[in-house]
Amino acid sequence: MSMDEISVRSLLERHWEFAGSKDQSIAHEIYHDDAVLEFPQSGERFIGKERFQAFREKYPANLNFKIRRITGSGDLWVAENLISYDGGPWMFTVNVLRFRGSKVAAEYIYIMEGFERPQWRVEFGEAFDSLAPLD
Amino acid sequence: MTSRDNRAVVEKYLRALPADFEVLSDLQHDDFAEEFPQSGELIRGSENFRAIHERYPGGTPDDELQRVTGSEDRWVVAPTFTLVRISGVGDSFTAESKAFYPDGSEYRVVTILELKEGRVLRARTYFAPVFEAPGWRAEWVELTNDA
Repeated sequence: MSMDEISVRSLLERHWEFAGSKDQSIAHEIYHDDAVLEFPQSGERFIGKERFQAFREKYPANLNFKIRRITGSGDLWVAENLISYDGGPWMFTVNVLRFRGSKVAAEYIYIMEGFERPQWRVEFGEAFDSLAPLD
Repeated sequence: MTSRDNRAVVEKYLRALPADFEVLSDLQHDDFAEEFPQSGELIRGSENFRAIHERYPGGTPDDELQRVTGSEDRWVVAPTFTLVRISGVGDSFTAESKAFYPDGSEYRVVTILELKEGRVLRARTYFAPVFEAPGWRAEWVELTNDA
């Protein structure tokens, strides 16, 4: 069974609603017990929900999330979100989520700051507000 | 257009990045646009896409395709002889790659591709710098060779 967009959106909205809380049990309902979480930027891989839930419960900052966009099909979904640490400026995240059945089997998380629109290419593009939610 | 056809389009598109403009423009939909959400930039059309990539200060990054994720994984050898995991279904694909810039900095690049009528309609690209694994969560982690 692959996930449809309404089911995925509903699961992920609940996940990020509780992802900043100290009790991580609700946020982690979306994962299989043997799920794998990776941060490719640092080469970190957490094998098993228990391990990444443990570090998230000890996260040394208050986290806020905003969902910008969820796209995908079949078993592969991508969330483009915003994250704020301790009330600081919004940063961008991309979460690549691979489902097995109705739960997440693997997640790859990327985190990055915004940057100024480079002046040398202004004439070839348009500006848009990427901090606003989309769908 | 079947999912298999779309996958072939995505593979060809990613291999043509960043500067094989003939192939890229052929695979870009007439309504193609690329977004750089981090800077809030929207680039419409193949001509503007090409104009930017031709003028990239310091040269374009040397892309080493790392992984294209979706729900049908398989491995292929990219022209740079880097192993690449290609996957995806329907009209939605995500590519994760490594980029090495002329100034020595290293990034992970994520490109989300949406296809329409067998061509690339939308690309959204994010640039994520590598970072050192935080020590406070080391007791739960394994380090891969990816970073």
